[in-house]
Amino acid sequence: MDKKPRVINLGISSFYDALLTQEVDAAQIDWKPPVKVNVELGSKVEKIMDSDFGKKVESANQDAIDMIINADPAWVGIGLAGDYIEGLDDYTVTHSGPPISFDEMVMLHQRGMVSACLFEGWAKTEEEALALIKSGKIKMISALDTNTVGAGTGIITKNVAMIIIKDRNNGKVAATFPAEGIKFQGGFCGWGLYSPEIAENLYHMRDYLLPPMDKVAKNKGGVPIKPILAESMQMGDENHTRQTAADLLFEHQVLLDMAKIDDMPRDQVLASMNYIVETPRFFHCFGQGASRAANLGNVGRDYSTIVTAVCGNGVRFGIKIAAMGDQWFEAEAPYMKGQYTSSKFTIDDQLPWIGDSCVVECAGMGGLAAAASPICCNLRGMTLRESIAQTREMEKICVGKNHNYPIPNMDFDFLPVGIDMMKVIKTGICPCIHGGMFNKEGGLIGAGMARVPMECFEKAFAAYCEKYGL
Amino acid sequence: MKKVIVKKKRYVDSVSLMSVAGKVGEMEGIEGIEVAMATVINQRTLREEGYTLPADITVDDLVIAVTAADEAAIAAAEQAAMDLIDHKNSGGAKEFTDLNDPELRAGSYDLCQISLPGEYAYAEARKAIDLGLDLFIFSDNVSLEEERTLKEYGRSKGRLVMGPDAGVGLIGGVALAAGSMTSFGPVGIVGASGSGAQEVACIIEHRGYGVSQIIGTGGRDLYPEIGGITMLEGIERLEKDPDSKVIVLVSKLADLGVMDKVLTRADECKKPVIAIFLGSDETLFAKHRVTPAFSLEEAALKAVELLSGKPEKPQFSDEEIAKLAHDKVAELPAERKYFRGLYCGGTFTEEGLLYFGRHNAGIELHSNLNTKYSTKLLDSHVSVGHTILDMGAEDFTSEAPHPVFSPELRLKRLRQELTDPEVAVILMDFITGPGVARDPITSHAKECKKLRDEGVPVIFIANICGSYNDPQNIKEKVKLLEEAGVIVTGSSYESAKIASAMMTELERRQKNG
Repeated sequence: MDKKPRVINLGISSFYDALLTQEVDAAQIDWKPPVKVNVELGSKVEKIMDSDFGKKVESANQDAIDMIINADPAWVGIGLAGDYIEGLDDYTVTHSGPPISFDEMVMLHQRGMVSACLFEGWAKTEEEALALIKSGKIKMISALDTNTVGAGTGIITKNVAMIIIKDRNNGKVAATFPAEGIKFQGGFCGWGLYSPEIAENLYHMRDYLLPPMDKVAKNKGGVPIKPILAESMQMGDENHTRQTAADLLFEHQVLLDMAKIDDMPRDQVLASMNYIVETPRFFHCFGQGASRAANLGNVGRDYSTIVTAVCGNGVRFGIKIAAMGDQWFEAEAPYMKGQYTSSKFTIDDQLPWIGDSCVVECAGMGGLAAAASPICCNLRGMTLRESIAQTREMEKICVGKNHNYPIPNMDFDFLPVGIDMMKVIKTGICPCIHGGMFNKEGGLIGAGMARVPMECFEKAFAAYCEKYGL
Repeated sequence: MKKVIVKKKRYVDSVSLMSVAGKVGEMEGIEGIEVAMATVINQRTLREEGYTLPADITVDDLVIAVTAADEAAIAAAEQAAMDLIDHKNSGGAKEFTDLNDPELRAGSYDLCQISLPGEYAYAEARKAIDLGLDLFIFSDNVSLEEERTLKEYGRSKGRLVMGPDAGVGLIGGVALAAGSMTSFGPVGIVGASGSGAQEVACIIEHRGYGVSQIIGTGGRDLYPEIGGITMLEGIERLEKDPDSKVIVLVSKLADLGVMDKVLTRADECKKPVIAIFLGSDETLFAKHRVTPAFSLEEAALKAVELLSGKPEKPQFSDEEIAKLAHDKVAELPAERKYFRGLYCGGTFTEEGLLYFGRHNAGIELHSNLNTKYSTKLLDSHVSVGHTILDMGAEDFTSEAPHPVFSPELRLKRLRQELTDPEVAVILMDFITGPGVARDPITSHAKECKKLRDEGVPVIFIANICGSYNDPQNIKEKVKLLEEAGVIVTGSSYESAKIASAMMTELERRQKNG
């Protein structure tokens, strides 16, 4: 008999399994369809970038990524949302994703708006809250239209205590809400829930758990965030879906100082320390705040085509481009593909993309940093090789590399940074974004990846060309 | 039933665990499964889901909580979960993203098996030929022009191009795509029909012989545009192959000119050649030396006869079939009057229709296929009178995976047919192999058994097109079917013969009132 052939399987993976069953020396190719490029737009981008105007774009984009690379975010304390978030006055509520009317909102956001009215005492009952919202008295603003981040539903009102991050490089301040502990987790801000217990917990955080943290941040003159991000990237985090190492590094930075607090009740300090340690992914909001502060420095940067915001509201998905300021470019919100936390969930339970946490992708982390976290990619069944390939693909649409993040899996090559609209259109490659999957009823039901819809970029490009007469 | 399995002090990263439950949850008989570290939150969730956790459970333990039909399913789920956690199946897995990966180029592979969507298959196939690989293309929807270009290009480079639309192949002892792991032996097969070639190979194996190669050409190789390039190349290869003593050519009826060209080449072959062009008559072979066959079973038995020098008989004699049909139909109440053929193999459907068309003349047959033997069903989802379905046809596979790869589609139809009080006889074909559904048979056997236990009189006929070496363990499955009261035949042709005899009985009974 002829010798057993060695076989390359290109396609259906069960055929590869069948070859392995037969103990064949086989290789599997995880083939992906070639990217479809809009040739007309692509050649227009090429023409623009080859012209003198292109040099202005390149220079502006270099400045923009320098703003991210040279960022010096520090956690400077705890403060009330109303004191730090611009425009967050009485009767004002933020939400995640691009702007949307109450009637268009998904149930989670609508519920969140009602919860906000109850939490702030603007209404006594749900009916009163609904009437108040319908009367137009409640102002609803997109969190990424101001200096915060709406992770999940992103429901924030003035009396929520926030993590305050200051970028000491560009002077921008961002406020992000801390996780609501192990019991309530996403609770009010993340999941838009309200109950007397949830409200009680928010006040408890504000008045009891967070003050010792505030003291430590102030005593230390600010806790630098960049070293934690950089070191954790070398320890298996991509700092969107996974921050296991960053959590530990952060605790390493603050716990000893908290233990040394001598002018607060012992029980209160211990409760605060316990809250930090037992809350999963505690550091996530610090990474988001740092990313947001750096990107605030790029909003409105003339000529620059880098992406400063990427988010969804469960209905539509929106991006912002540096040169276009606070203008939104929207498309239908995509569904994330990944892994559910329980086999009982299906796509029928899942909400299309909701949340602003992709601010970290805008700062060169998360989906762009897949190579740093094969363990995170593994939940989508990806191998180390595929995780690296994802980052390498993202390199093709980024302005440059961030020398703060040398990645062992890439032989210490740096992660890409600065998603460039021009390159996205020219290559047809849409940015990979990591995130958590939300249940339609609220709550996290999985984690995975999606791609930013091309339609957002095509709309942004059209508006950009119009603005600059291209 | 619910069961909790605890692995004490076994730590696995929670992210790694997330994908385990998803994969195991797809197994048959599993209603729900959680695989998680027993953290405080997870313990709470599991209790909420109705699982009872042992008192001594700690956060350092790994929990596998399963809801399933029976103990066997739970044991299988535990095994599968632990295999995934321990990376039992991924040892030495080589996964790449591009055919041009330098490691692949250096790896000196022999063959590339392509199952991409048709529109992409051509470009990758060209690359593979350039890399010096033989090709097996499972993909369909490749244009005739692309197929011809590929086959001509392959021929110019000395490479064999099997497919596009090739379902079955056996090269150097390796079963490709949906093929069976047929035992090695002296018969070489070139097949333009995948399931047809597999049927011939498996009957040969069941008679104690084996197969040297199955070269699948793809369903359109004998079209005038292609001119039988791969079939001619296949004959050439088998003629040179010292292991192949007898050659069998398998195809549906094709272009007359091309069939004649193939037969002329076969006439010159130094080895005995048996050919079947399903649906042809003797006139096709009039001027040729090859041994003709008119059913897949006949082609296989003739090959065995050539090797053994002794006559081979089908499993059931004609007398046995007549008696079986008479006795079984006589047991049925009068309101049960119709036959339903639920096929998943396209060639088997055609073989059946051909047989019924010739032997049940005057009986109206309905089918989702357009043939001269049958009336086309207005709605493929609703059977009318005697109905013969090809459930691998697009009107079904556009809605759900092909029944060869996932039994659900046909199982659903079987259940639907069983609610029809006029159904008398149901025929099913099963196809096994390492690349198809892990167990296409048990679920169907259970349905048959359930009906029998309830005392509902329906006659079931089935045949398994598969090798004794296939992972599905077909000897065990034959037993399972027989225990469920199913008449298990030796071939698709024999199933058709029995079904046809029963249809005749049913019609006779109708007429006699």
